[in-house]
Amino acid sequence: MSAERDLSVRIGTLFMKNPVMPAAGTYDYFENNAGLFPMESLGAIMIKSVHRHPRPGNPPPRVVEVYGGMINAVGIPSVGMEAFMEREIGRFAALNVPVVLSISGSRPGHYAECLELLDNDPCISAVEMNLACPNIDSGLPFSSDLATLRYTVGESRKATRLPLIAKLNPSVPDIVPFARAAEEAGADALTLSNTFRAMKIDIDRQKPVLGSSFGGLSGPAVKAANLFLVWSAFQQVKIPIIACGGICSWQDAVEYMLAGASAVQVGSRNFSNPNVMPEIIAGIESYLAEKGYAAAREIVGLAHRQ
Amino acid sequence: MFASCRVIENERLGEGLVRLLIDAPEFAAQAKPGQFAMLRSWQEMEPYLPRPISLNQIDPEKGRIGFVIRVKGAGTERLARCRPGDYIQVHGPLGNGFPVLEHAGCVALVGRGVGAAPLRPLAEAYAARGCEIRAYLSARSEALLPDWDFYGSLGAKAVFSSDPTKKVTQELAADCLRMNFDAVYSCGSMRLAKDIRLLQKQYGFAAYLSLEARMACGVGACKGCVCRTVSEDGVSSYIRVCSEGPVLPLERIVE
Repeated sequence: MSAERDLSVRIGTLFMKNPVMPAAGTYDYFENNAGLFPMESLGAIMIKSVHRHPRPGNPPPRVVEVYGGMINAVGIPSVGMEAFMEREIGRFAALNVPVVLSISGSRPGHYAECLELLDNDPCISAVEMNLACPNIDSGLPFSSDLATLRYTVGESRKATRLPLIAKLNPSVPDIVPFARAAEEAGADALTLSNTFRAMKIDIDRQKPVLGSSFGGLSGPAVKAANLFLVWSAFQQVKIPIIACGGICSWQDAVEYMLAGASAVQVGSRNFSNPNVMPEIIAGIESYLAEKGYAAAREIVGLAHRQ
Repeated sequence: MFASCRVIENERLGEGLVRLLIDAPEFAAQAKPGQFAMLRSWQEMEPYLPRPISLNQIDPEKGRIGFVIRVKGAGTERLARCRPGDYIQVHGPLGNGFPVLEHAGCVALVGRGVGAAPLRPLAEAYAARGCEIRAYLSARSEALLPDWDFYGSLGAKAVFSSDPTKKVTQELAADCLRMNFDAVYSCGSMRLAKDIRLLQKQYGFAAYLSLEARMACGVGACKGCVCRTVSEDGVSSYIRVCSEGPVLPLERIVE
């Protein structure tokens, strides 16, 4: 049905045939496919954050279900950037779908170092900067401090020709200055946003459930709050916005697009419905057909019309 | 396989304990003892995550699989409520099952409570090979133990304890004095696993443990269900229970 709809999205040199991709850390290329659909049917695939240096990740338990979603405190287990380049990047060669690499660091300089090691590798179509991890120097997430955010994105800009997507932390008083700072420092797009700081306490043991006490909330519970971030940023930046937060259905995706998202990321919903991403792609296409639009980009930000 | 499958039977085993039989020929044809599935019997967003449940029955001839559900929270409560004719979302078989040793002459199965559920298809696999089976089962009460009668029907000798002062591993230790176990399999209790590890050091049998963990995806993507392990060369690292387990050599979990 309606094969003629144009769902494509362009972010710098990153060209996606549709606006749907997994959120980092929720749908690894070789592990979660279950043979359900070809990876090529997605707009892009996403490699879970590779940290500048090797990390074991947090002690278990790392995940807990809560009302409206789940909290994770996985803590970016990673082989580190050098080992990733040596041993893992090769398996992403010559795929028929763009590959986005998520990178993370513990110091502002780590991101540019990751990009220097990546050296514009042709396996990778774009880089998403996971700026929600705590900066060792300040203790704050990178995107919770304007000067650190500007510096980190600016240094990264100098270190790569690849499109840079800044994934911002939602737990800030106002997203707009952070969105602008990332844009001014050279980001090609924003991902809004990461998980929301959250925790759960076991009332029998009288202790936090998660091994690292707190983590990040994802799922339907964050959607309404995150939608407002996309809405607010859309009015103030010119670069494309990728929405990430509680997208569980095509209706959620369309809602975010109407608020101003050019593309969407699906995260924890992949866990309960591993077929959800193709369902969302089909749903967006049907919606466009039903409402009489020729292209997905026509509905981006439409809810802002007076 | 990820599919919507029909519930054939809901058998009440005890208080808060049921067995679901599900029509899933493709799943049954692939499944191995010790593997699990992510189950979800509800359409609503709540509870958010599917539930990892180990396989209790694998019947490729009838195209059926079975799961024992112990009601612990909102998800297992919904699963336990499924009626024949209901459809349930099944993702699996997932994980690595119990290695079945080709030439084993005698194996021991040690399980506690609902944790003993995955031992049943393993016992069937060994019974089909004519292997001698000893089952050492415990639970707070007999009503909390699935398949107590089943082991007898296979011709296996089974011992059961609901007495907290009598550990079934004491029986296993006594049997180790006069029997030569090729392998010992366990699940459902880390306390019993530690006892088995001591016996393993003494008698040298192969030993495998099936782990349980909080999971989100069940397939290795979320890295949520990790457990600390030790490799052969003594290096400690996290493994994902869902994709690198749930069954691991005992010595990798218990030093």
